[in-house]
Amino acid sequence: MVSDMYLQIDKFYLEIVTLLTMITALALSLWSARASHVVAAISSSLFILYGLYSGEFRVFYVVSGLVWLFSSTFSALHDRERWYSLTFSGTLLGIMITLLSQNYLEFLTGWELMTLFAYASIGVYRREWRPGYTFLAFGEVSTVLLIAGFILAYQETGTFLFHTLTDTLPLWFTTFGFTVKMGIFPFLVVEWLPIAHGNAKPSLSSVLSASMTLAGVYGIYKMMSLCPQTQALGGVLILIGAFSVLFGALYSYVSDHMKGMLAFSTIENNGAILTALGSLELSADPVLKAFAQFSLMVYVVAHSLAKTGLFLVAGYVHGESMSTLSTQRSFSLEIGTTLLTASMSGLLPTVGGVAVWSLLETLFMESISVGGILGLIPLLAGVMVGMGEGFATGAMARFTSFTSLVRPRGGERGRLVLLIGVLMPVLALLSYLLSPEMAGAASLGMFSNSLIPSGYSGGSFGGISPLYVLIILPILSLITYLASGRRRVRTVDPWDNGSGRRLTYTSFGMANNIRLMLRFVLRTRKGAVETSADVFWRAILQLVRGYVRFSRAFSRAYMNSSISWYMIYMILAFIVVILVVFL
Amino acid sequence: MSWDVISETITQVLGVLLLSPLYAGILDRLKAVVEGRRGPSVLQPYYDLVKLSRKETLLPRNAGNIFLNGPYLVFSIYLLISFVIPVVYPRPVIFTPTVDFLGGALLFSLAGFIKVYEAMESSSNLVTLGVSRALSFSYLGEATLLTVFIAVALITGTNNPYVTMQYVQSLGHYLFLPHVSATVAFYMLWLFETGRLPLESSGMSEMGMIDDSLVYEYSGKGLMLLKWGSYIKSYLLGSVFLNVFLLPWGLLTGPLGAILDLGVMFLKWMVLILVTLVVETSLAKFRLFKVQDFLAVALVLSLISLILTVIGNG
Repeated sequence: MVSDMYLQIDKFYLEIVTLLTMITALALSLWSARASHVVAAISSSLFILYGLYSGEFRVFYVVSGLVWLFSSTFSALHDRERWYSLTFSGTLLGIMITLLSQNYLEFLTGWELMTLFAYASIGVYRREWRPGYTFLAFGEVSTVLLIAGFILAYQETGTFLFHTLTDTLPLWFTTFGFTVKMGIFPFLVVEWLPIAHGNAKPSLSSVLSASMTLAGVYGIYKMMSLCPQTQALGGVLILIGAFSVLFGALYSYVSDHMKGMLAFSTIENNGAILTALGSLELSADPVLKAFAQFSLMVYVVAHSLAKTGLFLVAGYVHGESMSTLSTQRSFSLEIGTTLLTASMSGLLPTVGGVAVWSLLETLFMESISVGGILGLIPLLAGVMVGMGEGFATGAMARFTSFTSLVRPRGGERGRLVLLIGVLMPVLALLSYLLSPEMAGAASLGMFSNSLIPSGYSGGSFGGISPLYVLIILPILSLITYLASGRRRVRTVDPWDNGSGRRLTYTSFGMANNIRLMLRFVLRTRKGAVETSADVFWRAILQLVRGYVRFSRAFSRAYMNSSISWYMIYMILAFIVVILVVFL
Repeated sequence: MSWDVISETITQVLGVLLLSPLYAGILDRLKAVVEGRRGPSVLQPYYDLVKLSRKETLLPRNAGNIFLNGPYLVFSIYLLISFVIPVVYPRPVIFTPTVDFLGGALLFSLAGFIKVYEAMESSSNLVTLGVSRALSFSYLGEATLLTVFIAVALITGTNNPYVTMQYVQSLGHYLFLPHVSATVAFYMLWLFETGRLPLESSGMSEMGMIDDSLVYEYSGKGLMLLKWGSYIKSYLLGSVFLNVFLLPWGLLTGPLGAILDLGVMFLKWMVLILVTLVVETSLAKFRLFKVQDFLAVALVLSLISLILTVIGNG
């Protein structure tokens, strides 16, 4: 009891110190960019420490802290602009306040701070404000929905503190508010996030893509913990999430903009996380819920850290188009990127593999557990996630190939990328700590607690052992190497039918099969080069144009400076307000 | 761990390792006979592997670590999978719980991922062309592999292939419509995954090349391991198809049973080879983009299986 009290006091002081350090980083940015980034890195480390002390939301804190630590370190090494350091540390401060908030007002303050600083950062970097405006516009749509949800929550509890609610309406409103920030499907805004994230500096892109969207996930998770369970929302989130996985991955595959394709991949990952959140909300089975929670947390870890690393890779590349960029490869960059993309492709024995495996198992177990027509929702979602993973693997292969594998060798650089890459298998091992259960099979050579089993109340379903995959694969490789004997190696030019040309196949060309095969979905236009359009973005533009046309026609017909019409509006508005107040 | 389990494990893994090239040799020989040619010896894959093991490795100028060492890892992944699924022996062996059915599918994907990366490191136009094609179909291939594995998992309520194998041995379960459609879907997928789809070549080998392009720049030991690995992959997927989908009966237990199972598997494989021979020699050549339609049909079939099972459960 006494030790708990001390722990609370320690946590309180740690929280204050962490916040003050980040505010110091913000102030220092007016004097020195490097000093600001170094202090931001210190604050991020303190936040990780704070996260380790925390309970239910530990994963969110620790992962956010790690993302900021890596991004700040990268910025301290490579960025010298004071304006940028100001907006960068301001964005981190906003996210930090959001995560630490104890009530709705603090949450909104942090949320708006984060949005405004990020908007300024995108605009300052590009000297072009359209991407920044796009970001701000969708950010404010998100805020409006959040305010609506928080007002409803306040109406019920009479306080701005995070109290348990009995109504699910605040959850519906805020969930859609958060999903807008995550660039997810319900508002058909598949393109706004890549425009914004693709136009920021690499370290900020990593924060926006990994940490800001994580704040959205945190928001949904927090509201779910306050509101009663609603299966309807669970089903909707699963379908929206899986759809985003499929289309996020598809657009990532065909995108030729380096950071844009990573941002589309973020939508895919966020979709998967949303699917996990939906599974958590859909299932009434406590055993399955515990496994769905595991899946959610592992996905959060996998996506945030791998995406941070991949955006930092973009910092070592000159140019934005995958087909025309120039760079040199190094051992660190090559191995680091390979490990990061293996994780992003959902492959064992990386943490991304554990995430994809657990999500699919959750969905398929849920389809058994729920059964009937409702059981088809997680089932179809599982298939869409599977297809999305196929596209994701292709997109990641293209990214690694053209940012590293096919490039000439250069000096050694990118050690930070290698470090984050090596974390991918290490985190797969740490995922055991998040698992609700561990098992072994001594008679089959699997020692106790070496397995992560999956199961539901109806029985056990499956299981994997990332530890054994990590141990067995290198041993088998070594045995194969030794058994096949010494090899004689001779360097030659690759065979190109004797043309003597170097690699002329471009990244754009590599994705063209899909552009052509899925031309009905991608609206591919044939011409000098194959191009495809984002059908969702087109739909939004058409909607906007339609609305503009309607409002012009409306204003010409009824708002043509006629006093009598304005009187009618005022009377109507008055009646509506009275009705709303009384109802 | 008992000695029985150890001996059964050794039989299964060595069986996979040593016999997988044989089935490829038999299929090639029979195919040649059907086409009126004399054809190579059934042992030709072994001769090829031995020949390649003695040759020097040619390293494309831009390639490096991943190109040189990737084949060892790919080979090891297939070897690891041979511990975890019922491909010779019908009971779990050592390390079987390392991954379940779905985890096994992810390991197959890992091998495919490394093959793409090592191929790309060669920086060759022809290889990139092939990689581009292979990736174009992976979204359907991966989804079908997952749904087919899950199709049988949903029928039994567990993701354990050994349990599923025993479950479908009952005739009622075997003829259950979802199991039948999953079987057809898996066979189509096996044809694709093992590069057995007849593609239009138009006289130039590169025109229809998908899988072979990934090993285009390889020679010597690297090529040997990749070829051997592809024989093992074909054997693993084919044997899962036989034991869990098409012919789940006949395998024996115990150390002696494990050795006899090698013979049982040989007979099962003869059935698969004959069916494949008919399909391969009678199917018209595909245009490259039609591969997508072929896989889409496989995916839809496996999806039908899933939907029927879930609705049936409800």
